[in-house]
Amino acid sequence: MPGVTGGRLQVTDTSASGVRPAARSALRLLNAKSVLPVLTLFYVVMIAAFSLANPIFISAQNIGSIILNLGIPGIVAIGLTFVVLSGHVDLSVGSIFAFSAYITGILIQEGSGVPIPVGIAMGLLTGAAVGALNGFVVTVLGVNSIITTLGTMAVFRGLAQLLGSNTYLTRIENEALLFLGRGYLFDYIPVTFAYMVALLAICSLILGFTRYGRHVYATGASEMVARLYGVATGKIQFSTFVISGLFSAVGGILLMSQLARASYTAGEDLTFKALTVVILGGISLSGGRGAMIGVLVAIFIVGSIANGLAVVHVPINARDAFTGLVLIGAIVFDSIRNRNLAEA
Amino acid sequence: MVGAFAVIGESSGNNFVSLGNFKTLLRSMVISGVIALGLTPLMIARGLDLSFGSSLSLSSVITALLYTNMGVSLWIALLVAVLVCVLVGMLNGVFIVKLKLIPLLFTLGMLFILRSLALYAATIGEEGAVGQGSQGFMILVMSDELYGFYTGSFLLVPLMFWVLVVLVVVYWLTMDYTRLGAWIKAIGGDPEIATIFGIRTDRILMLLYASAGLLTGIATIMMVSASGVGSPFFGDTMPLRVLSAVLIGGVALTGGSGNVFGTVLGTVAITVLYNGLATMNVGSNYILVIQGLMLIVIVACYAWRDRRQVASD
Repeated sequence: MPGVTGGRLQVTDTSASGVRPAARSALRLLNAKSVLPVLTLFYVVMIAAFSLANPIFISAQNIGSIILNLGIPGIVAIGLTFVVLSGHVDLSVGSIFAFSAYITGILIQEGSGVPIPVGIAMGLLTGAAVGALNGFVVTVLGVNSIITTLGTMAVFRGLAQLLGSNTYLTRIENEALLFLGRGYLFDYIPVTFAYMVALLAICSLILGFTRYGRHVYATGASEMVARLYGVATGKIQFSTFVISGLFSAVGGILLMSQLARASYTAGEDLTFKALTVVILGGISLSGGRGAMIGVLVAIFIVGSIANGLAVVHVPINARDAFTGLVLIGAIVFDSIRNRNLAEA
Repeated sequence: MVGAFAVIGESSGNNFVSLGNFKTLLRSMVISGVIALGLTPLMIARGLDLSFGSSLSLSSVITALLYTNMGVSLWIALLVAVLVCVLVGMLNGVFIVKLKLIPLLFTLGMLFILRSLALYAATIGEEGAVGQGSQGFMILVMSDELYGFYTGSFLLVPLMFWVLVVLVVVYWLTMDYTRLGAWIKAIGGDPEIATIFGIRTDRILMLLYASAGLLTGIATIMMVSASGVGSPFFGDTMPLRVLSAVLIGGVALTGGSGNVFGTVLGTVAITVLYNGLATMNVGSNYILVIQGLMLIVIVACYAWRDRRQVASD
């Protein structure tokens, strides 16, 4: 039922007219279930290539730095996964990331008298509230989610910059708060990485084993059918935007603690990275298909690409072009997978 | 709305209604207007392009590099800029049409790639660059011809504005008085039925992506003439502005509706709004916030109207 599954994102034609039969059977390897082995293979080949190009890539120190930088974008990507599974896209994650962290930063600065936990709670609440705004515009007003979040991306980046241009934040000195983003577990595992893995495990369980999870998948697979079966699809979609906003705020506050200061320019390319992770991880853009485990592998891949390119001396400004190519490649394969499934 | 801003401008003692500002207004309208015009038939036929801003940035940097650092003649440098934009449009078209991808997401990926390439290209010229700007990313293009194109007027109206007028007429005649225009509208109405009736939907869509690229290329020439630099940041806020103009003019995200004059009016409205805000000394951060809100409000209004129509049918 191609018209229904892809309705919101305008995938109207799912015939494989443009693909030759031989190529088609090769591409059938890339169906939804086999995405994980393909991703893992891709990752292994990538690691081998980078290591051959420069052995520093697999040194303990470099692996440590890759892992240190996986956690925060990973957390944002996990939140975004919910939105994409329910059939939408959230481009505002990077702006929510900066805005909510800045709110916390202002509240907890020296002399404000606001206790740190309250400040953090307000930041998280801000993230969830912006997510709720996105969800409201998309589900109640019925606006295309990409356009809505393109708008809120500008709105909250602008507000973060406004706050940033009017206030000067002092360095965070509180040891406990700094540990929140900078600490290590057992001397080796960065806490942010541990949070990411824990959140990913919890979200996997929620998506795989709860009623809510099944409803998210059902809504994304076919909103109409899900509604006929009694799923409150509007509420489900609304909730996924709230989750995405909340997770972005978590990421933003963790980065603030890592850098010891909130930054209004934080997360400018985060939307792009998180979206690449989610789509590469096999979460289908037409909604309702994909699993968290794929996202985990994709978090490693996208994190390692940036690092690997740096290790083989690709200039900083050219690195994003490679991630962009990965994003486009993932979009193309997602579309091909959809067509194979529609034929089968 | 023009009137309202004129009044606000007068009362706050600014020069919103002065002739000088009027010319600036016309010029700033032209660049987004040209791009919006190229998007109009594409969006009517259910296509979409978000990558135009980065495409403009990249081609402006390439032009500046070729002209300033490599000594290529100005006309060839400008031709390359246009070709780069057309090539990007063709790439978008071929991928989206042949692989049946979601236009919004594919061109978003393209946006990121082109922006990164533009940033990279702007740093290539860094060593031994002749005209490296203060930001480290801008490359100066100083030439009398370009400056003349920007400042020149014909019958009191800036030359750049005449270019827009000619393009509007061409697009209007094509859309309303040729078979191609009728086909484009038919594709927007229902692509499958259009295909059944023998319209070569794929080819027309690819042509429209390429023509949107061509107009982005023309906008690049205008941008370089107006600013005298090539910069990877030119296109950053452009998608919001141009999409708002096209959408407020009545082109629907779902395709099938809208026309050339709607887009022209939309561009006028958006330009007057933002220039009005700028002359009232509203900070750029506020303008970013307002641009985002405007986009959402416009699309929400049309979504609300469409649903009311569906309900009353």
